[in-house]
Amino acid sequence: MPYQEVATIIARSIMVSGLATLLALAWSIPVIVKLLATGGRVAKIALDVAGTLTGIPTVVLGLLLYFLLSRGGPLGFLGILYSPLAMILGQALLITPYIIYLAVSNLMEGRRNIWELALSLGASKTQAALTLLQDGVYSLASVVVVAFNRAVGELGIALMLGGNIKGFTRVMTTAIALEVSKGEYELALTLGGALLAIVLPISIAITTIGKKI
Amino acid sequence: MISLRNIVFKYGKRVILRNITTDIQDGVTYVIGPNGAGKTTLLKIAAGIYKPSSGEVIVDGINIWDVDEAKALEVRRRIIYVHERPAVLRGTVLKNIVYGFKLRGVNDTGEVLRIVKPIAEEINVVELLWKNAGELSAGQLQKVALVRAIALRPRYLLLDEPFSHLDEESVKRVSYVLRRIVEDQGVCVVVASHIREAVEGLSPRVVMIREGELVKVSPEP
Ligand SMILES: Nc1ncnc2c1ncn2[C@@H]1O[C@H](COP(=O)(O)OP(=O)(O)O)[C@@H](O)[C@H]1O
Ligand SMILES: [Mg+2]
Repeated sequence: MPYQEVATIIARSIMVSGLATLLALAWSIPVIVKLLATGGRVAKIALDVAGTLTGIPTVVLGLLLYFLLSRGGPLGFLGILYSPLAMILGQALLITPYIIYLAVSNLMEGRRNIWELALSLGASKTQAALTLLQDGVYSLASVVVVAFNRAVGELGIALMLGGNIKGFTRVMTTAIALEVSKGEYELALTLGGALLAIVLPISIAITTIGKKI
Repeated sequence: MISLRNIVFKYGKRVILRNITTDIQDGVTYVIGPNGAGKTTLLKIAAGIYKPSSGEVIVDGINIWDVDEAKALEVRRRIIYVHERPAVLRGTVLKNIVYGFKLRGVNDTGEVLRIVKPIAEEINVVELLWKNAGELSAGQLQKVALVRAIALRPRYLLLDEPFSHLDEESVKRVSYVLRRIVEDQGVCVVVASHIREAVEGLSPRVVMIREGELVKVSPEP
């Protein structure tokens, strides 16, 4: 595999999982605000559900979406199976429970004092929820990193919804799987190293910043 | 007036407050009791921060857990509770003070500063206004939190152990300011304390609680 192809694969991985993370954030944030503002038993149950959903194996989610998106499936008319769009959608769905679960439990349980402060200074429930989000933006950043890492490192969805098409949907994890199956361990290791080189520094940076604030 | 009617509060199965009924009237009220008696919990319930397990909280005639969110918010904004170890938002002390104004739709920092300056001067914390709130000592936090609360002109000011981290000089200044807002602005002040310290020159009502029960109110109603 030429150097240029490796670089493209890495870039595509970051692009696909980055967009998946943004998409998941976009639809998770209103849910997070709503849950924080609601609180009480409803929020606890929703949190438990999200926590449980984090345990879904990627292949199961991949399979489910595969049937939905395949030609005969209910969403087959979209014609997006085996495209980066399908991968983005799949990964976004995969990490949504992580984002909601981690963000809400961090902000609700870890920052009760901020919640009470907001209420006592006259915040509505929604204003208090937004304050939690704003004040806890660094803990939210670490949640985003966890989610991105999860997306960029997963194989099941990328393989089933992307199809590992060279130059189109091939990403780091599917390329690694392919190279290993061909016995090309050296290339697989290079890609594996690249994956770590992306995931680790961000995690370390965020953890360090998070501790300072 | 804040009327607490048959207030019961539980953490899980543990009963923290048992059937407390009392009125918080104009002037100064002290809530006295040993550590763990339930003073903090009672103040947070009176402020509408905690919902009682049963019983009613009636503020100026409005049952705050029995009206819609908008009405409850309007009533809650008359009451400010100040924690013994006040929480602060990220950023400067001034930003923390502006926050309460922003919630009420006032976004002009200059205007806020005009309101806050005189109060900050009285409590001697002007130079703290531009400091990072996260770097303050416990005593500085208490003073700054008091300024943050008073600036919003609450009708009811509920203070949890407000003197616990203050030096003698600060206690004097704070009591003076409290006395002034009670006498000049008609603010109703509640002080929770495990010991009985007096706000100078004011004779408070005293509500004594022990193990979640109201044991004595003086002077007798
Ligand atoms: N978050 C909590 N969970 C369980 N029990 C609590 C919690 N907060 C306070 N308590 C208990 O409630 C009782 C009353 O506490 P508190 O209202 O803080 O008393 P005080 O302010 O008089 O010291 C104490 O026994 C305390 O252990
Ligand atoms: Mg207390």
